[in-house]
Amino acid sequence: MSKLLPWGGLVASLGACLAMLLPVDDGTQNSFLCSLAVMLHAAIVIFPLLAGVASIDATFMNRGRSRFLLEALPSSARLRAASGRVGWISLAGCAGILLACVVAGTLAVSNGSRFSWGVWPFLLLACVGIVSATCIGWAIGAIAKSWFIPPLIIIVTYGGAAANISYVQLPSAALSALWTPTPALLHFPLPLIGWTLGLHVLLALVGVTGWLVWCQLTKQRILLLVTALFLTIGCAASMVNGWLGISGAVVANDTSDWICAPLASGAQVCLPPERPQDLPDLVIQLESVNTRALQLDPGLASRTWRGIDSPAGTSLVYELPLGQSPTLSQHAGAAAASLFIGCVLDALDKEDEDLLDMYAEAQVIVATWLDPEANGKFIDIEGNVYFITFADAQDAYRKSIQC
Amino acid sequence: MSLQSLLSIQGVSRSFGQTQALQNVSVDFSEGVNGILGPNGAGKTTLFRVLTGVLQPSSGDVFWQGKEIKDRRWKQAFQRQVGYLPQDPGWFEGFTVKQLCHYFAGLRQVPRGVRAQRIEHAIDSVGLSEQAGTSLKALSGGQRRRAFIAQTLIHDPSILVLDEPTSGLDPVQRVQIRELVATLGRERVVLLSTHLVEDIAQTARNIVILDSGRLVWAGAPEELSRLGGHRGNANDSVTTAYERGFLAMLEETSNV
Repeated sequence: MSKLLPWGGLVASLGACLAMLLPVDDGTQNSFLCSLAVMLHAAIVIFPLLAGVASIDATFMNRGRSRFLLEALPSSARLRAASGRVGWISLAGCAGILLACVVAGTLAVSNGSRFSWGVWPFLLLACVGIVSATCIGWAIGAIAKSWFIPPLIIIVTYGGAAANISYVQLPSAALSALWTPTPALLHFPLPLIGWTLGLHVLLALVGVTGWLVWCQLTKQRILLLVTALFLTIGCAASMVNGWLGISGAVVANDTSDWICAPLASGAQVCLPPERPQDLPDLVIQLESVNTRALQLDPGLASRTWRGIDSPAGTSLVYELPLGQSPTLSQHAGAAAASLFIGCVLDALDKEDEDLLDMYAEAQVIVATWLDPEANGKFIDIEGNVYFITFADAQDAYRKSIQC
Repeated sequence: MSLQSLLSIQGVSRSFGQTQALQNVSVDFSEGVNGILGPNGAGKTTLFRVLTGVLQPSSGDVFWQGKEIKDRRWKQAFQRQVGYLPQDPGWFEGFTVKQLCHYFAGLRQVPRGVRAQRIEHAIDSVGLSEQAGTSLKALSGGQRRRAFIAQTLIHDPSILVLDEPTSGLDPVQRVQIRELVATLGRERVVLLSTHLVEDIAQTARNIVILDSGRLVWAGAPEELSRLGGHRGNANDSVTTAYERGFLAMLEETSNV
């Protein structure tokens, strides 16, 4: 049992990652971006599982028959025994997440995704988090010595990790920022990383301190506690700083440095300067969507295709090539959304649900028309098939102008 | 506490809820084998747990070299000098004899330079050199007990605490363990608990009898033999006399 538990750490982290990675079915499927997203989301599951595995190990070790043998050891020896257990479980957990990343990367490369080093800072954070979660789980398990504790730790840590990730909206913000690190997108990855790192280090300190208390380590205890106190203050400061950075962050609209290319049918496509290699593909893809957009309204030729929403009425938004190339359907959906964004916000302000429904329906009709591969065919969630004519699309488009 | 005693306990009591496991026990232990005799439930294991620092006494003190081990630093120093074999050492079944010794050598920070030599010496001392690479699971009860005794020797302790090392063993294995304990007792303080007089009759320098958590008797084996009325003829072995003495002591206590 004691030899099996570290393997439990590997199975937990690898399993959680793959369970989230393999069923993904969207535009970023099997891309490096997807693997990054999965790693970040998996933290919600991996941290609690690892904390739980560690607490089971500690409970097992401190309730089992061997406890008398271990408790008769000097505290420094008990600390080494505990360190060994925590070390093995952490190592197994980190190996699991790295193995999952290799699987994700292999899938990504085989699907033609571009490689990105952007995944590594977050993998490092995930590994720091795994170590801290293991420390905490082990320390609590060793102190409490109750079989009620492991499930309780899993539940509480899950709640904490989920709240943390949803609070900072880590995946969506970090993904865009890391893949296309342009100031025009999200410009708070650094405070975000600082916030998360601060949290991880703080958790690790809490765990290690609890563990030292359990071991009743007397030698240099005061020095350790003072060091822990200073580090805690430092972490708290970095978290506050990060929080201020996140709360004050605004998506910038400055796209003046973007690189652009004209479309044969009119209008132009612009892209963040960090990713010029995406431009030729985008021009080819957007040519057909743009042609259909201009059939609806030749005036749209004055707009520029951009990957983010710029001041109203100047942009047609396309789907940023995050990882794999987006489909024409995704470009058409993003463009239709950018045409209706003003109307939808207006309806939301008025809290008029009928109006909102009307714009939603119109937006779907326009998106279906703009997608050259759909040929006007739209299937709703109940499986009903509709054919959108040019006249339908024009009527729907007019609603976006009228608001 | 006598001047010669390296280890002693003074007025130690320990209770678990309403159960009084040890009641005001005071006894000195000196170099050589110290046998702790008592029936099951006498408080031998609790005494050893208090002695090794696993349990805090409810009252009373443990002294090592004349100094209380309540002081944390002194307790650490004391625990570094103790090798402890609990009655049931638990979950190391997946280890080989050598791995077990290596694990404890690491925990006890035996210097790397001498670690291999110490491990070899400890395994050799308990007569398991040929089984060094064998899994504990595959060893007989006596061999496993000896493997755990090897673990207690790895840091060359001056005090060995062996809690019923012969329990559950066949006669041959018990003789082997007794001989091993006698050898180990030549250089250090060995505390050995048992409920069988024959385990300590030939080897112990001092015998302590516990019953229901109380110290019933403490003294030299010869005194216990005299109490048992040793007749000095071939038909009346010393062990039998010890046993009679032991039983007489227990009977006296129960009458009291």
